Parts: sequence; C-alpha cells; structure tokens
Amino acid sequence: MKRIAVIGAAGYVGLELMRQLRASDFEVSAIARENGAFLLRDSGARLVLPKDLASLGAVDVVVNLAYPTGDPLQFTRHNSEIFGHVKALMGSSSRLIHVSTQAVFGLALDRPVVVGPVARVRDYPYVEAKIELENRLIAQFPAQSVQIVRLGNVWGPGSGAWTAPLVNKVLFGEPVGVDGSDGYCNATDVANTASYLVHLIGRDDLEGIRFHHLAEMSRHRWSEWIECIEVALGQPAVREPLMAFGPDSVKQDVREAISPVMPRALYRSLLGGRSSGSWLRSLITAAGKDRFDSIKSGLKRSATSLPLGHRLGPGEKTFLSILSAETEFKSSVVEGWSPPVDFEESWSRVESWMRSAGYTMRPA
Amino acid sequence: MNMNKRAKLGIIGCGSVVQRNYLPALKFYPEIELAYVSDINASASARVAAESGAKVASLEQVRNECQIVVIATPPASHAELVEKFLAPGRTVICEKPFVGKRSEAEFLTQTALDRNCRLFVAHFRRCFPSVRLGRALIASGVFGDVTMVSAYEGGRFSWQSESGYVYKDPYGGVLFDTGSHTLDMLLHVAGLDTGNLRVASAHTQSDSPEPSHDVQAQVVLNHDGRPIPGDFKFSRVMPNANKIRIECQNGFIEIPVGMADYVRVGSGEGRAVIVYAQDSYADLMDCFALQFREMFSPDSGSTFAAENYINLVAVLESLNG
Repeated sequence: MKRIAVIGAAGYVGLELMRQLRASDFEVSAIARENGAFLLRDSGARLVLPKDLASLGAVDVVVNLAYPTGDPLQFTRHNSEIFGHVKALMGSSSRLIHVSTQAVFGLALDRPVVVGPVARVRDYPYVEAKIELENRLIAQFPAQSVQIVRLGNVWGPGSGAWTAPLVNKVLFGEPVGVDGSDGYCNATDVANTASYLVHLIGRDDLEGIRFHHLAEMSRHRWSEWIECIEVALGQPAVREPLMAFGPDSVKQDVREAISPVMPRALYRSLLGGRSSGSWLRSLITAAGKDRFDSIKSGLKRSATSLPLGHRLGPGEKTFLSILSAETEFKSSVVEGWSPPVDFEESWSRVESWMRSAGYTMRPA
Repeated sequence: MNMNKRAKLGIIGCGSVVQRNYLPALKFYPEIELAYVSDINASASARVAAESGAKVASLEQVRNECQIVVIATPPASHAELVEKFLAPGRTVICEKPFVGKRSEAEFLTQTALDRNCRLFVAHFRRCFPSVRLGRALIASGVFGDVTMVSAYEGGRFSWQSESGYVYKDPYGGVLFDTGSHTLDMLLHVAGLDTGNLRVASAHTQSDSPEPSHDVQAQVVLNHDGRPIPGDFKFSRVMPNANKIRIECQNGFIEIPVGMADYVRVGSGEGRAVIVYAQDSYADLMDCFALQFREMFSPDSGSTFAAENYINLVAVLESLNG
C-alpha cells in the first residue's frame, strides 16, 4: 500500500484532501500541530505531530501544504521548519508534491506568469516565503520527482481566504471592486484542488521537477461571484469609484504610508497647539512669512489620495488590487484529469454553506 | 491606587494570550509596572520574564506585592485563583472566559464587593467601535425592544496555546473560548448583559462534550420578563457568518465579530445601510490595550466590572448543559 504523508493537513485544502483521500487505498499520515489535531479526528488518517516525524520514516509521497503564517519576521524560520519536515519524510525514491501559489507572480499577478521557476524578489512576506520554499525544495531534491503545484485563489464553501471575506464584505458594505475594473477571479474550487492533488499522488510516472498551475475557473470574472452573493444576500455590493494600484517601489510605499499624515494637516495641528503653536509662530516670523508660505504651498497632495467615504487600509487596497487583476492565471495541468466541480456547482456549494453559516438569505 | 508611584502588576499564567497580547498592551501604561509573572510551566514564565523585565515569582509573592493581578491561566482554574487574589484595595483582572457557573460568578462578584476590591473580566471586544456604536443605537430606543438575537462565529482553528487548554480544559472549548467573546458582544450590544436575564430553555448540539469544537444552540432568553429567542453557532472547524444580529421591533442591527468601525442597520422590510462609528483603530491590539484604561483608572465606570458578566456566564452555563 502506498504511504502518503500530508504536511499541513488541518488547513482548508488539507481537510478537503484528507476527505477525498479517505476513499483511496493509500495509507495516509496527517502531519499537523497538536492544537489542530481535533480537526483531523474523523479523517481516518494516522495523526503525526511534527516532533514525532522520525517515527514515520520515509514515505512514498510527501504532500506539503504548509506555509508560514503569523509574524512575518518569523517566516524564514517557519520555512526552515517546514523544509525540515519534508526532508525527514523524503527517502531516495520518495516523490514530493509541494503546493504553492500563483502569488509567486505577485498577489495581483503583476509579474510575468511562467510555468517554471521563479527567482527571489522583494514583495509581501507571504509571496517572498512562497518563492523561497519552492526554490529550497527544488534545490534540495534535484534528482527526484518534485511537483510544484501553484494554486489560483482557492474558493469554496467557507474558504477563509476568499469566500467568507468576500461575502462579509458585500454584507457590510466594504468595497469588493473598483468601478471600471473587473479582474479575472483565477479561482480553483477546493474540491477540484484536492481532486487534482489526489490525481498527482496516483501518478507514479511524473519524473523530475515539474510545475503545475491550477485555476480551472480562471476565465470567470470576480463580478460573476459577487453578483451571485449580492442576489443571495439581497445586498448590493460597494465598489470604489476611483483607485490607482501599484506602489511597487520604496518611494511609492513611503508616500502612501505618510499620506494620512500630510504636512498641511500636521501644520494646522501644530499651529493650533498651545505650546507648539507659539513656537511655530515664532519660527514663521523668524523665517519670514513669504518664504514659509512658498514652502507650505509646495506640499501638495494628489486628489487620488483624498478618500471618498471610508478610508481604505493597506490590506483592503491589496484585496482590491487582486480583484482587479487583469492577468489570467491559466491552468497548466497534466493530462488525464478534469475538474469534477464546475462554476454552477461551485456556487451552489457556496450558497449552501452561506445558509448553514448563518447568513440571512433572500428567499429563492 | 496611588498614582504617584507605579502600581505593581503581577500576571498569573504566561501562555500565548499574555505573550501576544498582554505584554504589548501593558506598554501603553507607563504608570503600571509589570513586576512579577508566575506559571506552573517554568519555561513559559522565564520567557515572559525575560521579555518583559519582570521577575518570576510564586503565587504568594504576587499576592503580597502586587496591587493589580491578571489571571490568565486555563479557564477551569479561574474561579479558585480569582478568589485567592481578591483582597482589599486590589484590582483583579480575569482573562475571559470568566468562570463556568453563574453561582461562581455571583460568589466572586459578591466577594470582591465584600473585600473592597475591584474585579474585572477582560472581554476586550467591548472596545470595538462597532460594539460601542451598536450598543448606543440599541440603547437609544429607536429600534424598540429586542425581539430576537443570533450569533455566528467560526473558522478553522489556528491559535497556538501554550497549555493546550483548548482541547484539555472543560472550559477550553469553542463555546467558552471564542463563543464567550461573541455572546458577550451580543448581550452587551443588546443591553442584555445587565438586568435580570434567565435562560428559559436551551437546546444545544455539540460535536463532543466540553471542550467541544463545534456548537449550535437554540435558546429562549428571558430578560426582565420578556422572552427573546436566540440562535447560536460557534465552530473551530467551519467558518460561520462571523456576525451577530439583533432583531428589534423596528428593525435590525448586524455587527461583524471582528474589529470594525461600522454596523449594518436595517428596517423591518430588510432595507439596510452601513453606519460608521466616529472611532477607528488601526490595530486589534489597540482595542486590547484600551480595555485596561478603565480597569487601571481608580474612579472610572464599570463596563468591564465582573457583575456585568453574570448574565453571560448564565447563558454559557445553560448552553453547556
């Protein structure tokens, strides 16, 4: 019987994978931290804590779904831990299926998409960590079967990354798009994701290092999901009227960061202060009012930095940039597999989850 | 408390919530000195001591030296430890969930009163702008009486507890852990945290005896003589809607369970708008730190006073069967 070890089995994709593997003939071990062990109690798999990996020894197929979370400053250390777990399970004839993300090309796919390796780049911590782990694993196992599976946006019932936030944003009037922009959703339904991983587990013929891109619903636009959510909730979605994306340099990031504390506002605040106002008036007098006014008038801000309604935080802007992505993350998968869930079925499952999750739905 | 001298604070229990939340929050209060930390796990107390500059101490030392004591141990130990530290002039802050039984909550509240000390429970979500706004809207009376309540919270579990209380402690399950937070938001916003609240009936389904990880319940609350049906879902397995909803005679109000500066209000016909609060915080930890402003102040109100959580404990006890 083929021995499979799944690292990160208690995550969203991991739980669906474990559910689908239950129907297989594989001997499955689930690697998860103790606090998440209860999530796997009905999986039928042998639960192994990371500290007990040595007892498992080498397996036939290692599936890695784990990735760093939490404090970004610890991501490199977490990557090393995950790397160590994979190494502990890999024998000389083991195969590795490493699950990565389309975000290696930027969260909003603003770098060229290639079905191949990606060089290190300065980006968000999640992106840097994903690229780092891909490359470390490729370098460690150059002569073995290493399948790098980059997923699109994982969608499905209760997806903590996409479905749940999107539904709540619609419900509570947070923007879920920008007027005039409707990005590719680049989605993969979690059931299809797990199905593809099960397919790869069974494919002993895949040799060497190979890259897979999975986003079987990529051609659909975000608006298609959002319209379904709007109808279900009876709540129109909010879209930002005007927005520019793409601070991709340190200078732009700094300008963005200080935009809420613009010098003119700072000047007015200091001038109104009891003590600071006194000192500032003295400074203006000493420097000469004309000269000071000329400096002050040079501190202009762009109209795009003026909020219309609720001011968006960095996370919300990043979210909107992904929803506006104009690059399609086209699937590149092995022959012999087709996705069991289509767009309509996927929405049906999400809608069913919404009902059970406690959303107040408009009657069908 | 003498504000001219830094008040000494001791922490009992040095797990994740202390390491992640309490230590950064206490830095907001230079008038408070984190003097002592104590834990049965010596490595945890040593780590917190090293990070904070506090001394590792026994319970006795903390009891003898500190004017403020934080109880942040696994929940089943709260009742005994809180009682141990209630002493004249002292402020005791109990990390949520408070205790498991109404009788315990009433006893501790009365004991605090009898011993002339102040007892608080750290349900920091009461500091969320959305919660403060929602409570003010309900209290204004424009929505009329509360007629129905619901609370749904869930997500795949990821908190890394030091003690493992989430799967060991009888009050470590989702009901008492995140469920207590969400129910507290609901009761507080709806104005049901005070007054005479009884649970007329409760039907609970859970995946296992406590500590459970997935709980659904239908209840009928009785608040000052008025019956109020309630529907609750809490899960560490599956994401739920992550909102509370309060139905009133003239409309409804919905609030996300996470930190937000807005609420969704609607008419009886279902039309809804989003209303924003004046306050907004950049970081969840800002709200965590904010709760102590009232607790550390010698003469402030009592949003976090233990007597405001007796109703919450009563609901949790009923749901726990």
